[in-house]
Amino acid sequence: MSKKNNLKKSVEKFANDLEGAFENRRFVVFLCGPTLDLACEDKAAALRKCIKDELEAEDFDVVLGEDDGLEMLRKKFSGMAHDNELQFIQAHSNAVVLIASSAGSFCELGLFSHQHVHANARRTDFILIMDETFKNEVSYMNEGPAKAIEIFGQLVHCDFSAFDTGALINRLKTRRHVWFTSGTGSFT
Amino acid sequence: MVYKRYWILHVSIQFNDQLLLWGLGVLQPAAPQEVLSFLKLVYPTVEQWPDELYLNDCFSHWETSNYIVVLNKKYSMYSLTGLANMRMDVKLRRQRDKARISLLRAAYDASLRLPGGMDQDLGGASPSSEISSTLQEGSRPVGSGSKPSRTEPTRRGSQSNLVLRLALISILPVFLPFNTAIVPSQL
Repeated sequence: MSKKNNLKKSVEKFANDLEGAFENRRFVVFLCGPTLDLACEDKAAALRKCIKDELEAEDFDVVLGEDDGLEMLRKKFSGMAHDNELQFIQAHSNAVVLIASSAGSFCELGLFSHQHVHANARRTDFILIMDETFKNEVSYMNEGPAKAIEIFGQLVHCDFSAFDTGALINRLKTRRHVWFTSGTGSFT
Repeated sequence: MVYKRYWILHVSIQFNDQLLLWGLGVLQPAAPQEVLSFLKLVYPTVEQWPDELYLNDCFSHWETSNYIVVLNKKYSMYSLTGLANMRMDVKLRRQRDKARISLLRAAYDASLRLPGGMDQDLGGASPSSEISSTLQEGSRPVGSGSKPSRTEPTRRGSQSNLVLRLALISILPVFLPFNTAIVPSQL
């Protein structure tokens, strides 16, 4: 490795050193995917639960959407689910993690990916997790929303039961050093 | 907007200004764009960064608040003051010093390899150049002054910065020219 690369590598290590200084920054993750009620029978739902637990263990604020009262609030305020979620992401989410597996999550992917690229100035990170069986298909999803996230975020194809959560957590922990959610409000 | 069970407004996505302060502390004296380029190297996976307008506003605000002082108006080079030190917590100050020492060490090692290219000009009287003095005195970090007036770089400070810039200029995409390193005559 050249000296120049050595210097670059040593500079990148500074990010790890800064973890102690910025680990308490508030960082809101909007975690989309199949409902957690199916965690015992559906691999994607189980992965969503696993990611939620691991993020919360690292002091991230995790917002799940429909599992946390959206349906109740929709009935109360007559709001539309996708509008509520878009507003929430725009104003408060530091990252969207989307496990594309259920009908609802595919709808979210189309809507959120468009907003991510065109409307929120990409201050929000976007990580899309898709089943590896769809990886090489030429489809609207792969050529449209998935490609958008591959370019302006991170696209991961995997077997849902063998997903490496470590890389995802590290990416978000690093990002927490740069962008965070200010204020003293509580989401729970 | 009520979303979850309940939550309170007045929260928003923000850039971590403390990180910017840390970056300036490591490179000082440095221009806003240099600090941003340096941070992009530290965080290669982060693609979204504030624009130039935000940076300039931020530095302008810090200057008004006496967190930083301008050392070279032509190149917008800034350095931290003692007030900025107080704004950073202990962990951040420690990491700033650690990073600066690490870079200076790398720069010093790089400067030891330079003689191959420098030997051609070393004939005659012994040089009183910045590099020569740096090799004699070793590289040390420049501490921030407790008052803005103390942030004027000492000769040793300017020498350290010169060596530091020599090393970083090879890896930072945005960096001011070599000869813009701060020396007292430019103040």
